[in-house]
Amino acid sequence: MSAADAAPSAEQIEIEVEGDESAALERFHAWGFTDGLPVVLPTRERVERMCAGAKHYPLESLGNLAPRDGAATIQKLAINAVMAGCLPEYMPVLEAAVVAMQASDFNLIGMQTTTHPCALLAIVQGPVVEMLGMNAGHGCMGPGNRANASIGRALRLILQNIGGAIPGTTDKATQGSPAKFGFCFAENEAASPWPPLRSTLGFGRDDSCVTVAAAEGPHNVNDHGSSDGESILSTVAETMATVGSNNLYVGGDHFVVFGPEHAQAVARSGFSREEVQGYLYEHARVAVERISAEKLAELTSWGGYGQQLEAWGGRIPLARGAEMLRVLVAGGAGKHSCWIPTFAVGFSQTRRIALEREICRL
Amino acid sequence: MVGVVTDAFRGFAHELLAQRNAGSLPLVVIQHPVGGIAREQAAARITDEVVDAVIAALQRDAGA
Repeated sequence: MSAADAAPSAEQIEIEVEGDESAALERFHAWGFTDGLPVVLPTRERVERMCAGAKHYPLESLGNLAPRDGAATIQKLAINAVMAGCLPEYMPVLEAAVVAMQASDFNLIGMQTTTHPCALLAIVQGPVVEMLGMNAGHGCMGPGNRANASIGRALRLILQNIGGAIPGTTDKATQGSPAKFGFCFAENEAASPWPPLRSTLGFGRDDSCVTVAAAEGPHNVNDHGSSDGESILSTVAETMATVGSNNLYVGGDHFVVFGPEHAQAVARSGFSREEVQGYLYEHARVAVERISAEKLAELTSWGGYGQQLEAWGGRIPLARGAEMLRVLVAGGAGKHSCWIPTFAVGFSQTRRIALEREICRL
Repeated sequence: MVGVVTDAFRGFAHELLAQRNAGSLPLVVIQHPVGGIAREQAAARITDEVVDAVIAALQRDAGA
């Protein structure tokens, strides 16, 4: 077709646009295909090269993404990956993430359409981190690494262009979040005193995995003063104990990402990962007196608190169980960690990243 | 089945239903917001007209 004012349909793979690449890019912006930043135009040659990096065949679909129920074919993933600036070798991460986000417990349609500012968080783990040159160290949640940045961005474009979460139209986030441009980092397994995150989720050390979650941006935990584990954990717990978090409403699972120095200090004090989870479950709580009466009424209607307030001793836990706190290590030197609150109306999902071609299901 | 939505989310509801091939689902629109106001105020937004519209929509749906 020739370029027209109306956007091509979501099912349309090939579009002919008159003019040069600048003109085509303006069309993409006008059609709402971008995140507001320039994209790499997905020419046929670029998409074919991207598909070659995938572990499924180009016309194979990995499922339908809510709310539009658009078919997540490899070809469409590749189009968005090209637009985001990915390299072909990143495709297996996108494939695994797209499968993971469709698990019923993830609640993709909720994440896509809610007024809450949740973004698609992707945590990449295992041997693939080094293979792709991902950043698990200094500034890993920020800019500067192609794989971290473009994988996160590609997932956002996939959710928008295939899933149909159009900002302001069907993505009804009241304020949104910078994390919605892309939020992907790698676990710093080498700097962790604890076994890797994936080992707590049933995967082996040799597995490469991606964990996806409907997450807020990271909430920093600064503690330059504490030298022992309990003091650091106390700072983390008190930082988490906030009234406005969705996790206080409904629980869900959420993430505590220790910087390596905090993690080492906590481990030196004898805390295993399970003990860290237990400590934070017990101490990251909000006293009922801190919550306004009207909000407490709202909370009780959401999370069945009416029956549990007494059992909790009037202190509402941020997590409904210690195991709902996902503890891992990422980042470089410095005395910072973070808590990543979540949408909470759903649970994170982890899938193995296939590094060999999967058997075609067609 | 009938959907109830506040006027601030009318466009969202129509777009979402269209995306999910449920554009014919009856939709009743009430005044925004229903959160952050007194319970009595929220209850007052469920006017007789709203109730009638919901019933009529349900009956249309049932008859369809």
